[in-house]
Amino acid sequence: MSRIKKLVLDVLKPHEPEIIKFTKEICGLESVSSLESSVEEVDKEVETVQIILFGEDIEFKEVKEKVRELGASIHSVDGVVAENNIQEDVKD
Amino acid sequence: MFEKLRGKLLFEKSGENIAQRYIVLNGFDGVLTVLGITVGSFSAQVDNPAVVISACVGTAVGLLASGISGAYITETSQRLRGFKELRAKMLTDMEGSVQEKKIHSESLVISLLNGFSSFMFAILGTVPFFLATFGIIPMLNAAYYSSMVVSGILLAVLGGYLGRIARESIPYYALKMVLVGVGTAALMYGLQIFIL
Repeated sequence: MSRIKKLVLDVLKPHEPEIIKFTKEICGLESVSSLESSVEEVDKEVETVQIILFGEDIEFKEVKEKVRELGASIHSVDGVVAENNIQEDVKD
Repeated sequence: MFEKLRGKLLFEKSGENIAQRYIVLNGFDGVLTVLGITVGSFSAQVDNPAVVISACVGTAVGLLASGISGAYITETSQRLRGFKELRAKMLTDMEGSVQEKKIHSESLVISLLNGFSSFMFAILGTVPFFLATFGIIPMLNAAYYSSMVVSGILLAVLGGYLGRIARESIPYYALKMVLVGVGTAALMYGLQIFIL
């Protein structure tokens, strides 16, 4: 069974909630252990943000729902790091 | 806890600034309205505190109702328009988003602050007449002078608060507000000479 350890997302969000609050909200998700975000482009009412999520087993569906709840939308998934945990599963 | 509640109800920058503005603006309305009634009653030599209280409380209730309903309708319609514009930019329905939820919660908080600020400030200016009803202070002229002094203090507090927001001289802003109050009282007193 493979797990997603890192996700790079391109997100379009309104100016509010601002980037710090937005980042903290997503980082509060159970499957996310840390998160890095940076503003890529600023428009009059919206901004494009790249967010990089780290976790042991990131739940993409949960992330997508949280992003939507914050009024933002995922434009694209630009990168994924997954890890195969067969050996760990055997050990367990 | 307060921070959490604020985060849930208001967007920190926009909502808070509007709330601040409404508190001062309507507080100012409340104080000056009661000052007008007080000066008018004083000129007419009304010696029954219940009459002044009825006029002031009635006005305060009117300010409360108009403050809440007016601000709620105005804020909701403006926020709804802003939300629709944002939704068009985002190219999603944004259903159930924090932006959609805050259209009503922000409008409600702002309208309550709007209504209650004018109500509270108006009632504070009426307190000396309540004291006169209980015989704690005499009606003529102590209650009138006390009410005018209370109004002056409230105006100074509101002015000082504005000065703090602007990061300017607090006494200067307080004095400016008090002068507006003095001007209102003088105008009202002058008009009464023609009326009575």
